[in-house]
Amino acid sequence: MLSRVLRTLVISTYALMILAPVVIAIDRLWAVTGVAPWQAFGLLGDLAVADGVLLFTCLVSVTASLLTLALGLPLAIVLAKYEWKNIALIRAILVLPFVCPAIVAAMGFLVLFDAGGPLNYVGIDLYQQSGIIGTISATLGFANIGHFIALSLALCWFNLSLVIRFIEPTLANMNPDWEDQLKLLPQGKSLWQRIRHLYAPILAPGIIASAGLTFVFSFTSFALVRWLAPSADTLETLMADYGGSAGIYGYRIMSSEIVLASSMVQIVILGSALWLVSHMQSLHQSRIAIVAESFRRKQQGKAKLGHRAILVCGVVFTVLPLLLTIISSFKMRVVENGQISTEWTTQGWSIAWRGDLSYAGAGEALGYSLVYAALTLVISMPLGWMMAATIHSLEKEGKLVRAKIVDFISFAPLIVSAVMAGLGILLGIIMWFPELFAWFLLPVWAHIMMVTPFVVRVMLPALRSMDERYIEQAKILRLNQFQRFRLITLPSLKGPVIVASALCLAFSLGEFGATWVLARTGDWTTLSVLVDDLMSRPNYFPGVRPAAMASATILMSLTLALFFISEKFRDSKDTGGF
Amino acid sequence: MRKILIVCSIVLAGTLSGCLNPSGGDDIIFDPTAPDRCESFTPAIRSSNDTLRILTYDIYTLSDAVVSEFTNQSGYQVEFIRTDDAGGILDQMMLTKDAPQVDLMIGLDNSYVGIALKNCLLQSHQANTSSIDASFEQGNFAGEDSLVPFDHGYVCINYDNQYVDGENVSIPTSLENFTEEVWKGKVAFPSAVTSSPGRAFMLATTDYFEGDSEWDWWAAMKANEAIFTSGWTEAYSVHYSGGYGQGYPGYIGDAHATVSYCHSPGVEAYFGSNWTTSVALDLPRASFHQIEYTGIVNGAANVDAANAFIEYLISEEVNRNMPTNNYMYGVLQGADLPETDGYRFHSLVPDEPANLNLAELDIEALVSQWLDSTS
Amino acid sequence: MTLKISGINKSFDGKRILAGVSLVVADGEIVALIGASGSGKSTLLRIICGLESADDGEVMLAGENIGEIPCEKRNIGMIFQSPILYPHMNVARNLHLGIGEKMSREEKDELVEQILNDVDLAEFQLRNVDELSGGEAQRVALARTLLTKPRALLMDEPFSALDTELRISLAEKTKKLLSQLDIPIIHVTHDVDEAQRIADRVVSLSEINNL
Repeated sequence: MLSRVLRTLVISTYALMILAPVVIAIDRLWAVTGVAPWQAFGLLGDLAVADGVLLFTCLVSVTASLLTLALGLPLAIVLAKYEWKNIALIRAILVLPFVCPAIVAAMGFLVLFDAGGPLNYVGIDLYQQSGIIGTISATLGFANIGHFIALSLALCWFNLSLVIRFIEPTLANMNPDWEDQLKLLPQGKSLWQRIRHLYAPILAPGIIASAGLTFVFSFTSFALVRWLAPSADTLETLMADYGGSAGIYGYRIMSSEIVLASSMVQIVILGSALWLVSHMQSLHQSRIAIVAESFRRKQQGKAKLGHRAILVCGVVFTVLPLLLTIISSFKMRVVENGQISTEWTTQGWSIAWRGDLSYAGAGEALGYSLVYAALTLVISMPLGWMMAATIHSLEKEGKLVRAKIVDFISFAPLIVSAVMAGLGILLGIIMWFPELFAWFLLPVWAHIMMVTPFVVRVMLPALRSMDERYIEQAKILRLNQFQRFRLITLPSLKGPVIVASALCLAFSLGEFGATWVLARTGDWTTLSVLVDDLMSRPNYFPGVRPAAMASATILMSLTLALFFISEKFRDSKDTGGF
Repeated sequence: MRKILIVCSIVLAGTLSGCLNPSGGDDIIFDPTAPDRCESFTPAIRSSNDTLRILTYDIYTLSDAVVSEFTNQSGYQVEFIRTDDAGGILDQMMLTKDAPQVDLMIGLDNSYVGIALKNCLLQSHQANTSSIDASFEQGNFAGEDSLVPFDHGYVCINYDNQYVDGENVSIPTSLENFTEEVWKGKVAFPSAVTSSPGRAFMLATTDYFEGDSEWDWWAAMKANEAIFTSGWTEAYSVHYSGGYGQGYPGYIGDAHATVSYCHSPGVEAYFGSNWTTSVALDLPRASFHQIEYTGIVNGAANVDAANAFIEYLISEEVNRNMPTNNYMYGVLQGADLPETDGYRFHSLVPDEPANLNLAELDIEALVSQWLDSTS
Repeated sequence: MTLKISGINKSFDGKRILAGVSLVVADGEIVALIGASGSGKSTLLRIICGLESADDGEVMLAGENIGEIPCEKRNIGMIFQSPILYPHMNVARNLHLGIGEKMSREEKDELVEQILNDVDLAEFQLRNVDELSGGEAQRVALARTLLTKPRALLMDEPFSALDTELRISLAEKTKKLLSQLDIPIIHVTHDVDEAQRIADRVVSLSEINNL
């Protein structure tokens, strides 16, 4: 049980590190624009550049959430209900996109949707909008519907794991006798009745929580929008575009207005969504408890062809963009006598590795990424764990409302986008410690902001499910607090700790938005920034693109290796959602 | 627990209450119109560790090898802070103007330096600049001893000759042609708010239309479904059918004209074995002569190192490579583009670029007007 | 080292569970505490060992009020209904947890070997705990508690999960082991036969609980 002093310290540290930058940023924008934060909502409608941005952001986030449910639920159902060889591996592949750096995902989808790419081959042309996409676009009068579909699909790919992680274990551990019994009762004759009386009440909180989180992550997506829907803006990309000139007195006030208005709208919308998610997650945990009491995983039989098809499609959908990224790192564009063709070469890799086209080579950038990730881990892991322990100890004391409030605070960084987090730190640093402006470790702060909530989300269910009697027994055996932690708590939570650490490292490695906004010293280019740098420079020289793809492949391989290691330690009953 | 919440509220409220003061607290609000503004403006000088800190965008000429060579020659260590473009450089300088954290800026062009000068962000240099071509001693900002040009180029409309030839469209002879049906939805413009070439071309149109009907023209372009993008990269590589975007993932190719450099077709040819379908459009006063500058930041801690780097940047060994490394013209006497693979042949040097008094123009107001016209 | 409990009150969510409970257990005495399920037997034990705090009343051990001393410093042994053995450690390492004195690994192993002999589990040192039967696990838990050299011992229905035959034999073995200890022992059970078999004195909670 955490002492009150420690709890206060943990919550204050968290609030200071995570919330202070945002408060500082809003303060500065208020001072610069003269518009109070609560009056800023109206600005969004008045600013010409923001026209339609909120609508597009909401539309794409809702579409992505629904699409994720539509694709994720069948996958979760077939995975839970039937026997599969290597189920752990299949599950790991299906949930892998969530840890994949967004910039890598963006590269993979660019290739997937490319003219001559697999989708194009089956007649779906999302970028040049010929064929059926062109017809849909013309019919609906939606100018860039191809981009919209591309972005929604990529967001769905990214968040598929949420649905699977929330739903599959619950469903797999549900006692099949429950449904069999219901079939014999008048109110359970039809499938619909059984869904209504059995499945919906048990699964609904998990479904709503996963859809809510998908909405939140889609709403704040940056790299995917930047690369897959270049003609459209979301609130996040708008803030990124104008964030650089925001917060400066007497200069480009419109930028400050845009950022202030966007961030306030974002805070309200995401705050509401996360409040709902937080509520649904605790409901989901209580449903899990009922299910876990009843039964342990037992499949209902062998999968039929249809079920296999669903799973194969899911796996192909998951793997394809990643595979295409790797392939395209070996392909280089060649122009000869006006004919454009491609040749197979490892030139992209050598260019990337040597850093011929960038300030840092991929190897160097990899080293910096690892340093940032390691530092993030060292701070985020204990901070997130302590935060989770605080929530858990409040719950155990029966202080449920307080626990809920602290739980919601732990979610707070997700309410603020990565771009806003970066901007907050930038403005805060300039206000107080201008000499830290170019400090190479500055992005670590932003990484901590973005990563710590996930540590809380992994550790909290683990702490809740830990057998309290282990600690009681240890106390009786006269082990002191440190001994209890070292000998009992830490080994008992080894799995979740490894999972949370791997997530920490993976998210930090892939972090892009905040790092992109913060001052980037040339000597400290991370891999994700390197990919974006290479992609952003004029690609006249054909070696640029394969070099970007090679850097993306290195980043992807590192993240995925971490992910597969962590999956080995994941409890099959893990229902935390991440 | 109540105590915890109270403490947290106090911490947050405290920070917030500091902000319940929209006048901006301790920040000095600088008056750029005051005549003695630069004499009375003394930014805090950062404590330096003798490393030259340079603020720049991704200038491709400054590779690791080039910078290492400077360190070998001069003994000065170099550290970079990078932004995305010239606008980003100005943003960073404005943001830290009271306590500058860099010594040298590289990359503000003539559409941005006016604001930097008005805000006293730069100081005089002592670098030897005698190798620079005499033509730079004339025109806007020529007398400014805080600015040293290091590369330049012309921004104008590029069009895809394949479309013009293939669809039997007449080569435009005026900007008004682009408001016609044949160009409907087929012209891509990078934003004048967030892109340097976009801003440069917008400025050129104010001269082309003589400050009379430029906003009507922009509104007409909007009505003709012109494509507006936030940066040059999206306009050129995603939308433009005549550029390198073709054959790359994400390419749309729905625009057959866009704003780029007048020598962009030359760069295309250089990397395309002397083949390109892109052509720079030579219309009088519809192009912008963009000059990129370097300058020592007001409040710099390592002035000597900054002067040394300026000399290195305009040295023969670095500046002669501008066309191939940074895709811009160098500034040295007799600098030109290479003949290799049609680089020079396909590049255009406009006869009559826009003639603007950039030091006097209120460019930010023009950007706002542009935004109003195109929204 | 008499264990003396006096006037213990405890409520949960406004519901009174224990009211003015008093009990004295002398050194070397084994008291069986019997009572129906949910009558508060386990709660009383948890209060004595410090896992719960009483709303009112005193817990005295050897004349010292130990009510404010944290659980881990009271040195009272407790065996739970289902044995708490740590699954990430083997039998020997679980037993090492019970040794409070500083000593070398070899000395610890020697002690472990000895105590395992005492509970008829010789050669079990390297077994994983999930390979143990219910009775074996409970004996390991007992052995570990004995290693702590407790000042008092509390047993919360330790044999209730075992089958009748095993329960009887284990109760007898335990009685033999405990009789060598000169400490107060409380054995909670709802089985009157078991209580009589193991204890020197049988006390019904309902008689000392003034609800």
